[in-house]
Amino acid sequence: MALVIAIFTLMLISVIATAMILMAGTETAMKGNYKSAMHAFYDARAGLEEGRGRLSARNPNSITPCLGGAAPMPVGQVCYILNPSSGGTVDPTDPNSPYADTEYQTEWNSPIPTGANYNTVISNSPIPGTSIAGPLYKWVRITPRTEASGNIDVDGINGKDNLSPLFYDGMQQFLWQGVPGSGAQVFTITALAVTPLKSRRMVQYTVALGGSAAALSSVPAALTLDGNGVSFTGPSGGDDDGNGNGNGNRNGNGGSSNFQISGNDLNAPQGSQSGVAAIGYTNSSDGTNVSSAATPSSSYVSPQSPSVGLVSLPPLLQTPSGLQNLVQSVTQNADLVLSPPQGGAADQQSLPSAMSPMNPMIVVVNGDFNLTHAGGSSAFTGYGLLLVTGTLRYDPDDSWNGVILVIGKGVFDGSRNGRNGQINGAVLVANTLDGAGNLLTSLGSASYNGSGGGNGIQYSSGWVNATQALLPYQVLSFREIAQATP
Amino acid sequence: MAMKKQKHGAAGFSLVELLIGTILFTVITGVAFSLLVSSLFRYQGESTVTEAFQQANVALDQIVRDVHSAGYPPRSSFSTTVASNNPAVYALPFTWAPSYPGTPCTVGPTGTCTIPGQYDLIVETDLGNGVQWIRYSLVGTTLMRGVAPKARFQDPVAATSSMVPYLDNVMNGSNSLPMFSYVFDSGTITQTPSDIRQVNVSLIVQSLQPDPQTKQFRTITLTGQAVRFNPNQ
Repeated sequence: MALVIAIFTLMLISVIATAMILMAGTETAMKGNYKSAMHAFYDARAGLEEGRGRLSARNPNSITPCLGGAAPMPVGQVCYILNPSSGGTVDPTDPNSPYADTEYQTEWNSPIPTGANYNTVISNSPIPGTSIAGPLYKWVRITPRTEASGNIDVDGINGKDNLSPLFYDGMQQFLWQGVPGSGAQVFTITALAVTPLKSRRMVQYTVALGGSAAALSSVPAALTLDGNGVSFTGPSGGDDDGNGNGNGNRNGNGGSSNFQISGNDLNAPQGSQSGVAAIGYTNSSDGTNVSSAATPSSSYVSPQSPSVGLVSLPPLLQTPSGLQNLVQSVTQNADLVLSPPQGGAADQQSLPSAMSPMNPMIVVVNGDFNLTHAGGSSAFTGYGLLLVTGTLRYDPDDSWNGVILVIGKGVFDGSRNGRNGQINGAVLVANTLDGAGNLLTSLGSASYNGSGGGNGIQYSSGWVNATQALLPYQVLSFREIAQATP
Repeated sequence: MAMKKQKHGAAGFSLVELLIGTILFTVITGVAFSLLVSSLFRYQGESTVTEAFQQANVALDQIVRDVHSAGYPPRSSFSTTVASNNPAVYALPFTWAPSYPGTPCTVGPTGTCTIPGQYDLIVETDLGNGVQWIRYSLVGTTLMRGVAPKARFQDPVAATSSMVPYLDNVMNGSNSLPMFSYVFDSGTITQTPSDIRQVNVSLIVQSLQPDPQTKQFRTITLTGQAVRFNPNQ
């Protein structure tokens, strides 16, 4: 009897225990699935961020060579960042692989390219010398974006095709027409993550150099006077040798005799000529004033005709609010933001000593800035993007390689005498603020005064591009691509 | 004939032993059975809750995924002309009512929007078949879901009125707990639908069957934060 009771009791306890284990197992599995799905999502996003970060030429692990070497990245080119687990392999082109990239065929209606059109790099997410594996995404694919691959008819013409890569001008995407400096290329970054529990998530970014960077590439002149009622003052005669003694010598060594605003691209391939206008204004009614001040004509040269003329700007640069967005975007990515006190001014002594040709920087000055080397000291040369919201006082002894934006008060004052200094890149001046610092409803009267002489402004696509590369790639869109669990 | 005296305890149980044994057996069996029955009730109750949890989890996950992709593709994907002439090709993150597509209303308890509201949300996104309106609306205790292609000159509320039940026994209404609450882009003042950066989702879901032991319905609360990744238009 006791044995029967004991067996019966044991059986009951076993049933209860089994039920409890099953219940606990179900809950554990549910939570595990959820955790795995979340893990996969954030792994995939980590892949997207690695791809976005490494697109930048400034990134020490830049994948620029993987993009095919040409700019813009040609349609039909693909770059993969592979992230195999230790001892594993990842081959997105292998249809039998659990990590096959089946989405490529869907987007491009063709198999993944091979040969020179297919490049791979290895992820730098795992931390070398440690057992830290990094995010468990399997691959990140980077392609140019086209209408067909994005399944969007950007221009409403001829449907969705793969003929031209898409570009972005800070406001809208458009089909690239082969004109250099007409915006920034749009890339599609796609990432697949698969966790050990087989959760799969695929996510996709569309990225381009930020609105500000895209707008920079669209600067249409060596000197752009953006606004209404703009004024231009070139060097006058008189004391042109830059020594400030008023003797009026024109010794051919700086001063106004060497002053030139040139839209000829300093970096044009040898034997060819390309570039932009020398001086561009945006309101035709300013044409007479600007053109008459830009004399002699030999000092204002360009491959375009006229060298001093009306130019069009991307939408971002056409309104005070758009330019204000540009200022904010640049400020967010600045290496240094200077805010001189009211009535005061910052100067080039505040600029980082690490600034160099190999390390151009973004400097924003919320106020006035004196790019005027101190008496007795040698001339100064800066590199990168300089944004000044107040008055920029420029000593033509000094030089800048990159882009200078004077947006706010819109006053470029180069009246101090000097020589030999030169701006290589581009300059844009725009008046967006009134005297009290409020945003204008329409662009005001920007002014450029180059009466101090110097060597002037030389357009350089190389320096414009180098400046553009300082700004990060901006996420234009995000989506998740549904995945079937194999 | 001499009678043989039977030896005490040599065969069978005494009445007392039998009684004690029976009582012990009854007690132990009763305890075991009551334990079994209570465990079975518990199992049934937990199974019901687990089922409700699973259904709510699926719903929450889908809402979060839709909000993640809200606003895809953005207006900047198209030329200004195309976007102006055909607003149905691009997605706003969130549709609003009233006065769509006119001046956007303001979101929040003191705002003028009925949608996005505490129990009603319409997401615009392209999941592969063109831009769609995806609506989540709590009707009574049922979370409804409706999908309709975005079309110009069409009212998204009317377009998504044919919704289907998506999740039953959602008790947010009777508990006065908003199903949707919104977090806006930092620095925004207007708090219009386009300023919404994050949707906080709270679902109070009641089990389909009452708990066999307590005879009460059990509820679970799920919360999730869904971030909109697409940038402002």
